[in-house]
Amino acid sequence: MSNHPVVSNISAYIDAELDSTQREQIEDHLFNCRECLKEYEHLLFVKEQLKVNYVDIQAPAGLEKQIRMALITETANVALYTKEKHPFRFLMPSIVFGAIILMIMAFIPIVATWFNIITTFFTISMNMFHATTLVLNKLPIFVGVIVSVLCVIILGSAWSIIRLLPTRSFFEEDTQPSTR
Amino acid sequence: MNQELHHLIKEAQNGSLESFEALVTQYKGHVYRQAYAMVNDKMEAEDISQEAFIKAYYSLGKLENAFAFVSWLTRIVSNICYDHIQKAAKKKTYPTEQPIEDHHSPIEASSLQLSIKEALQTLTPEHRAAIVLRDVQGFSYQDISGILQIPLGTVKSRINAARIELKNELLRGEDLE
Repeated sequence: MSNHPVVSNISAYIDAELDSTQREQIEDHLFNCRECLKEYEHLLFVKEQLKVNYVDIQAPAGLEKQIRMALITETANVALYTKEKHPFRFLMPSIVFGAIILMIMAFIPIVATWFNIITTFFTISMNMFHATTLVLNKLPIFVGVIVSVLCVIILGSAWSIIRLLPTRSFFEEDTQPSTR
Repeated sequence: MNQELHHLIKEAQNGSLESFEALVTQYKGHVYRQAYAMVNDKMEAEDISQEAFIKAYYSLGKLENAFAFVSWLTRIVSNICYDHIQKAAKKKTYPTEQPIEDHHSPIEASSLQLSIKEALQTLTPEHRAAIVLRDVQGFSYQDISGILQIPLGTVKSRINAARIELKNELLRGEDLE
């Protein structure tokens, strides 16, 4: 078959894809060559078989609906992902930011007042601490007397509490319901 | 291409889902037939059709010439079919299940005659695509050249080679004379 120079054109001839000169050459050759004529018939048979076997193939009934659903879902997903590209997408964050700034400005006087009060208390506390340390350094005897008096008071208080505890127990016993 | 179809394509390009659905109605058979001929599996052909239309919907803005819509859609289907065939080939390369034992002798196997659909699957994807576009879809060689983006001479040789291979598969074991 390879000795036949036009055999590669048989398919193109079947498909009517040759110019008039080539077509005439093929027709002349097929008229005189039984082998090529057989090949032509076989290839024509293949072409017809393909056409016959696929011409009635129809898309399934549900395909259109399936594509429609897929498109709607895809479109919704795309809209969801591109939502932030909305022209007013910066509006809400801007409002929130502005509100925060206004609140801060409104609270500045209150915050400043509280800051002043806290600063004053801190300064007074520091001064008192400084005065106490000075007294401790300058008047050690006086401080010794004060400390001794404080110790006496603390000890006296402790002794009083110890004495009071049995008394409280007496009253508690007295308040118990009678079993008689 | 009639004016109504041209109008539908233009509307779909402007984002009209209704117009695109009308295009789906019109071309679903064309797309499904091509996919089915390429993969010989109804479920897979459905998947390919769906994938092709979704891809077409989102790429429609890139289509410069509305008159080339059919060729453009066919190219999308062809590309998706190639991808599916390649994936299927990779799966076959690494089988996860034990292969079924073939009790037929080579002589018996060679004498089994294939149907045209089975024979089509024995072709390379390139030859299959060319012959499907010509004999199933009815495109001219020039159109096929544009769709598959190959020279006209290559289209001609692929179609001729594909037909000869199909003939050999169909007539296997028979006396050719």
